[in-house]
Amino acid sequence: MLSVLPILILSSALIPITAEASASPSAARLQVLAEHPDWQNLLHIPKNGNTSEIENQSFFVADNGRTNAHAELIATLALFASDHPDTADHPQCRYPARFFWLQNQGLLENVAAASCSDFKDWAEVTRLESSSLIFADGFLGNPASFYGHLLLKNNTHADNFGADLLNNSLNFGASVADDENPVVYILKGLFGGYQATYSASHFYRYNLNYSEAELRDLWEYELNVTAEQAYLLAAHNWELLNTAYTYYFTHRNCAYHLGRTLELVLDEPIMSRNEPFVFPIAVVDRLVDSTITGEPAVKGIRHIESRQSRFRHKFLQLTELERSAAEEWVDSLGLEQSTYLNLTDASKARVVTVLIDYYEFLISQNRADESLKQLKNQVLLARMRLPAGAVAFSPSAATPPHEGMGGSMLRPHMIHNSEFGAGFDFTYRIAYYDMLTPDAGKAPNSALSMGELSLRWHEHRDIEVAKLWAVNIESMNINPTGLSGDGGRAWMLRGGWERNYLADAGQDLRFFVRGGLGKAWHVGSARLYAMVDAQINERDERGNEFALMPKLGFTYAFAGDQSKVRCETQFQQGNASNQWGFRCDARVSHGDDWDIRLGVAREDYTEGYMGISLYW
Amino acid sequence: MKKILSAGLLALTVSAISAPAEAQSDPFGGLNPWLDCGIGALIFPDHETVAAISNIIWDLGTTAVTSASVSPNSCNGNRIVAAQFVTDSYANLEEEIAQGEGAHLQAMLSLMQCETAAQPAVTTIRSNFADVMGNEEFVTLTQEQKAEALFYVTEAACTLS
Repeated sequence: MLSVLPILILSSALIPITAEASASPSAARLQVLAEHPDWQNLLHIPKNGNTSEIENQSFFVADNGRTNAHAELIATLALFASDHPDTADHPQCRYPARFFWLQNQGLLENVAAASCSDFKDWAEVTRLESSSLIFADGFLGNPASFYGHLLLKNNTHADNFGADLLNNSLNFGASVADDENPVVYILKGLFGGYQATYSASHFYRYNLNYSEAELRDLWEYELNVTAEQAYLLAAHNWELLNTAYTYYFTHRNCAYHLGRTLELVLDEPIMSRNEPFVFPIAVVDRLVDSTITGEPAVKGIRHIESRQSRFRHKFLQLTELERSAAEEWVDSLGLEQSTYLNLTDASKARVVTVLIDYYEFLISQNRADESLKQLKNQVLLARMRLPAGAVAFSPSAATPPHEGMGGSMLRPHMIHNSEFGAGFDFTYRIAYYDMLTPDAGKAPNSALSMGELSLRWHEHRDIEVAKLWAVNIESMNINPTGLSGDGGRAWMLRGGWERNYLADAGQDLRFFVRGGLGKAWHVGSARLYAMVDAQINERDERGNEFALMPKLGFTYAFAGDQSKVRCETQFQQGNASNQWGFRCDARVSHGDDWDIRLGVAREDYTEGYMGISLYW
Repeated sequence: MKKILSAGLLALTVSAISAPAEAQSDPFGGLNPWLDCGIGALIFPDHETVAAISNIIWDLGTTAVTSASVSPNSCNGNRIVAAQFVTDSYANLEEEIAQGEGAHLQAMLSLMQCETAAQPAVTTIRSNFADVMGNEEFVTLTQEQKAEALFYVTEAACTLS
């Protein structure tokens, strides 16, 4: 493989395009190649399958190429072996990965390489060095996405001047009209109503979109590939720009298809076509556990902080005096106060660097506010009056998302209820995390679950559905800096069906929707919140259909987040005495893919539980 | 909205640099990328709460950024790519110019083929663009107009360095 790439690159401009294939391979050899995992991956035929997941016929050379890898191989070889003008439509330019791979199998050795300048310019093949998988995490406090997203990036030489932002990246997405109705959007996303395609752009554009506009941290996982493997992947990415798929939000999404693309260079497949749900973090987890030619598949991890993360991270490194200067600057709307003026130039640079991030963060939340742009301009001018040079801040020490818990969960636990006695609860969650899940790879002080089902058994009751939450979102967007506009809002949204085993009027399974709004803040290591929840539900035995339920609560993490507790008290309008109820839940300990939970709750009745959670 | 520099700003920009004014008035050989190639800043989705709620579970391949740009064949080429980059990345660029270094600044100089003279050029850009930014009119400009001013200042600095 090592010798092929330079020849391929250098020969293209020198040799006229005359096709002369090497001796025809035997039928047995062709059969072996057609069943080779690489060829199957180039055609996106899943393991143990025989039909490509690429749906547009234009991607295939043979009429039956989508369902017959052998026929596609024969047709591809014939296509490459025939004469073609050296234009951008040359077959080698449409299928550079196929051509590269077939040459590496000892075929087409005498076929001259086409110029393919469009592809080579796009992939920057002479400078191509490696590839990366980019994970964009979710952020509950502000942006439009929680579950994360994946990109692929071609990497050119690291020492290339300003290269990384200009590297080409591959994105996978559904084609959605700008003015799509939200309900139609959801239904079509779930049930295959959209076509999905790949698109490519310079990495800086995705960086702008995700980390600057949507305030999402990016995590780059650089693949441990050779230059030749990086070429193969980049060439295949180019081919993928001419592919189309049916999009399903749950299982044929960016995570699934980029995972399938990565299999081209991985030693073993990481995706199964039968998984009902595929999440980006699961693909990252599997990649980290994979190998490429026997070596760990990932050779480096880079954290690209969002604008808000950068601002907060830097602000918390300021000295008390520097923080005071920053606060005075903000309070005085840009007037340089005495605290700032008395700082050293180095400290002034630290303060204005933080303020630049602060104002740009605020602008990202309100792009129409001209006064914010004026304030940012003032800070920039102040920075320009100081000596040039990067300001020292320590790098982020955030935990990479793959070290967090898996997306899906199973939690069996024992229960004792003062009314119903001993029991057993079996909870399954499709995704993603709750308030007590360790913070790695998730928005801190938040919960996001989709499809959480609990089955419960008590001695004198049948096995029954205790709850089916369609969605549960909670966000305690703490303001860690104290500066205006930097979080502080708490909100929640929950909907589905549930019974309330703590209230004498709540034991039938009822539909409900609950929303809450309030404020969250931190006191030392504790996170406090005060909210008012409003709920509508099917009428209960006491005739309740609507409830307003104020609540107060806190979370506290012990031993570096090894353990965490959450307690809250809430006015329970639906119970017998309309009293304040309370509950405390704790994660006692946790490993990579498990934790131990226990808790106690009281309204009309009292209940305690203990169990283990398993994640994958 | 007119996307080319106003006469006042052009004068302001030119006064901040020492290159001949006529070199700045026709930097693309008759082609103004902001006007003729439709270069515009990236348009980001609204992040109000309603939008956040409606989109929360739909990001597994549906988040998109759109661009106002169109690219007729005459608008291809490195300088147009550079103009688009400067427009898209303007917020990062003004920050890195204030600081005197940064990845976006490096990328811009790379696109404008100014790597070899990068350090003196950055010093010149920092000084000259501070003058441009200090003008009262500057904060009233659109992102595209600010990017255009920065482009001219950078091109002049690279030419002179």
